[in-house]
Amino acid sequence: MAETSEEVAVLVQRVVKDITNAFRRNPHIDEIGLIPCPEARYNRSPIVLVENKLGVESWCVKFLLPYVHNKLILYRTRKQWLNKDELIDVTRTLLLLNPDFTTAWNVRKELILSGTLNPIKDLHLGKLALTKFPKSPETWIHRRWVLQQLLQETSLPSFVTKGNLGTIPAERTQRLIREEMEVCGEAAGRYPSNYNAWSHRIWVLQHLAKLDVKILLDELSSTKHWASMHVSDHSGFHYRQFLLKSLTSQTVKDSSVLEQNPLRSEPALLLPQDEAAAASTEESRINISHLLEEEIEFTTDLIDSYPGHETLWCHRRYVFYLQHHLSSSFSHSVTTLSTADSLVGTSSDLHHIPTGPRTAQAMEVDGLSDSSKQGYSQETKRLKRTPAPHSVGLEMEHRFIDQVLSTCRNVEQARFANAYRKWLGTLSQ
Amino acid sequence: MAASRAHLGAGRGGQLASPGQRALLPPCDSGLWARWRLSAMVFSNNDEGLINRKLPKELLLRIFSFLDIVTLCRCAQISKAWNVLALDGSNWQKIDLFNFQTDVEGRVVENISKRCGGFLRQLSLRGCIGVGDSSLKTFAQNCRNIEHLNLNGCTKITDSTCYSLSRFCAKLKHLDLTSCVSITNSSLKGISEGCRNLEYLNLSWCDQITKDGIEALVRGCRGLKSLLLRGCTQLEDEALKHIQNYCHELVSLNLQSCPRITDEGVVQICKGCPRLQALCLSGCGNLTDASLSALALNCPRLQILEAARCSHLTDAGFTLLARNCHDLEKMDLEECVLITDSTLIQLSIHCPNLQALSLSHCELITDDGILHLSNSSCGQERLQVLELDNCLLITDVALEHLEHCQGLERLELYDCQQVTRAGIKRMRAQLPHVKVHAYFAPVTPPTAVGGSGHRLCRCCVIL
Repeated sequence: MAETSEEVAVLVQRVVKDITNAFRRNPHIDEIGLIPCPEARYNRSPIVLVENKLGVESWCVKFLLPYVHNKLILYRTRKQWLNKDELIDVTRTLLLLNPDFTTAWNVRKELILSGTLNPIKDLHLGKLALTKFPKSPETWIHRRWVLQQLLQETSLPSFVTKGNLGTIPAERTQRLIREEMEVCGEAAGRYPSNYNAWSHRIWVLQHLAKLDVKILLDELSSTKHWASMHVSDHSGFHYRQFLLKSLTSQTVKDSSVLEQNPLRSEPALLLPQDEAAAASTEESRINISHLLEEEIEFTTDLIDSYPGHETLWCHRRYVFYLQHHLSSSFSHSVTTLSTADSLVGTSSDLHHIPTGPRTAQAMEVDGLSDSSKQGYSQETKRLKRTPAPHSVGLEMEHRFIDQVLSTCRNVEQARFANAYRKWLGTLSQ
Repeated sequence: MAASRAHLGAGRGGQLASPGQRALLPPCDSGLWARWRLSAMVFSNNDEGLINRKLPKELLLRIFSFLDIVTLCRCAQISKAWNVLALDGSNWQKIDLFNFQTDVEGRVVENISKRCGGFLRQLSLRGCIGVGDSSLKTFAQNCRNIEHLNLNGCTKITDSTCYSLSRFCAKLKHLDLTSCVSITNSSLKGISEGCRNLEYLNLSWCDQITKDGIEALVRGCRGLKSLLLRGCTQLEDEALKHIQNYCHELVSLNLQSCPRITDEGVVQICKGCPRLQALCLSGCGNLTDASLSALALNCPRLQILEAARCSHLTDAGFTLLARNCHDLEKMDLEECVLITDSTLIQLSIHCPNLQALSLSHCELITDDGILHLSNSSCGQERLQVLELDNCLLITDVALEHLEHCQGLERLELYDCQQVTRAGIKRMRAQLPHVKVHAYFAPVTPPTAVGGSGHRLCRCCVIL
């Protein structure tokens, strides 16, 4: 029976060994959890492995955590040495119990950098930790570090000789992206408005996928169902806003480059993307308005079905806004412009970044990408603008609001609808 | 008095002749430093520390030999006399920089190597991850008499270091390269050419090593007594064949987690290394009784055998082993799931020196096997450690049998679900010194774990 601190140390070492053995017996563990169990009445391990789920009985945590925590600190302060296997076991145990313990992740970073630990293991460990702690900021931060390491990995000689790079880098990146999308999706499901998970998802699209249009489109369609099931998850809708914005700004960028080089024929254009994208910008330019329309319809649907969710109204504002300015920018080349009118309150320098949403006559590329970063509150601070040429869209919105107000019985819904109408008013000034 | 003088090096200002002196001296200030040294010499003439007057130089040197290098350096600043003594080569034969680890940059190693020169025999740089090839080259050039070098965890070093050692350090006997993952076969070629006196080599987790490296190594270093290759996952039987051909002095071999090893390789080792006393094959899951037979027939001096997770081994192999290797002291048979009480009976009869036995997860073992073990001569006197965790058939009856084991110090009973608290209590009444380990939890967690007094940060609170 363990009663002295030495005996506790022995017990804890045994439990750490049990955890290690559990991972060895089943490398496909996909979820961890705590089993409420106030005391050990039987001579039975607190580590329970059933199918692919790993459970830890709660009675052992109060011994386990301080001990492994202490052990790692002693290693870090150089009072005690731990060999490679011990370090991996100790940090893994610690991080499964408390993944916000940065020191443990840092020790693993050192092991990865020295070539003694495979970074994929950390992705797996992080994924497990996120099943119990879906918001854990340190886990996400470490995950991003690991992904960056993997992106650079082709230069690491030791990994090459050990034959870890079995697949082509591009294929591997694709696999990583898919995996990350899955991890983020799961974490988002476990905690409402999981900002950390969604912003990680955005980061992956920016850094791993490099905002590839096809992937953005895939993401847009694959998250639609989830969004419809989580109508108050603002972070989820924000993700869709990010996707739409990226698609829009890429499209507009392409189109403005096209316009600036009228002498060149399209296939010969030296766009930042490859030729395939050059060909598809024509496509996506057409499709983006379609996508935005679809999104508006989507929000209409949800607003009608689920009255009183502010998230949906905010989302609608954003999408309408994108739509509003996208259609303006497409008419840029057609309408004659008086630039002086448009840049009220700012210098006429074309590179100036506007403080608020601009009208059709402004430098569309800058205006669109920057204004979409601004919040909805900027509108009230604006000065006079020239009239927007697209009151058709506004009319439709006003009709929609009327319809909602006339049929809804939810107080909140009415409030949101009125606020929306007010906001639309500022748009058309 | 003499004892307190001997601690003169311990403080910054030093505890000099009189307390009054102490107040004057910040040694970091150079003006005062000069004055202090002068007064120290003056004092040493009139009021020389008792230690210097009463003890002959040889004994002072002996006292100094116990000091760590920081204290030695401080002693060297005390007085001219002590400077000479502290810096005497005999005090600089053995250095351990483990406590400095990440502070140890290349520069430190270079300075130490220049200070110690040919006197340095033993150096440990375990955990000094900042140390690289160039400083070790300087080290090798300066300390050509080095015999014992520990580079465990010095992950930055590459083959270049081993070339340096090969060029300059022919006297090297003990080399630890654990976790130096950049080491390749080329290092071993180098070492085999220049360090032919090598007796101990640890290459654990240097997983770039293949049979070619081993072949090169053993051709040159035929006097190898201990070879540790844990985690060298690329090694195959052919590597072992080379060991068979050249390492006839081999006493200790560790092949833990080398999954490609098969019986063929082990048989070859046994034939070539009759002096083998310690062998670790844990994690080599392909091995069968054929390996045990080879051991039985060729290595009668075997004392330690670790075969954890070698799940194909059976009673037949162990019977043969027991009957031929009477010196067996420690055996780790964790997860050798096929063995039964029969193995225990054989061990009881033939291995009187058995001290430590692990039968974790050997689910066929019953109380009867324990009965035989406890009644044997090794059981009653020699047996110190017995691991029966996850032996599901063990009951309190086995504990009763074990009451005869007077030498028993530790007993593992985790997951033996038929064992009760009462049974353990009864046993401990007979053997008060034995530590029995089971999952029955402690009543309250201890307030200070490990005596370090570290407090948990708030984020570490669960629930």
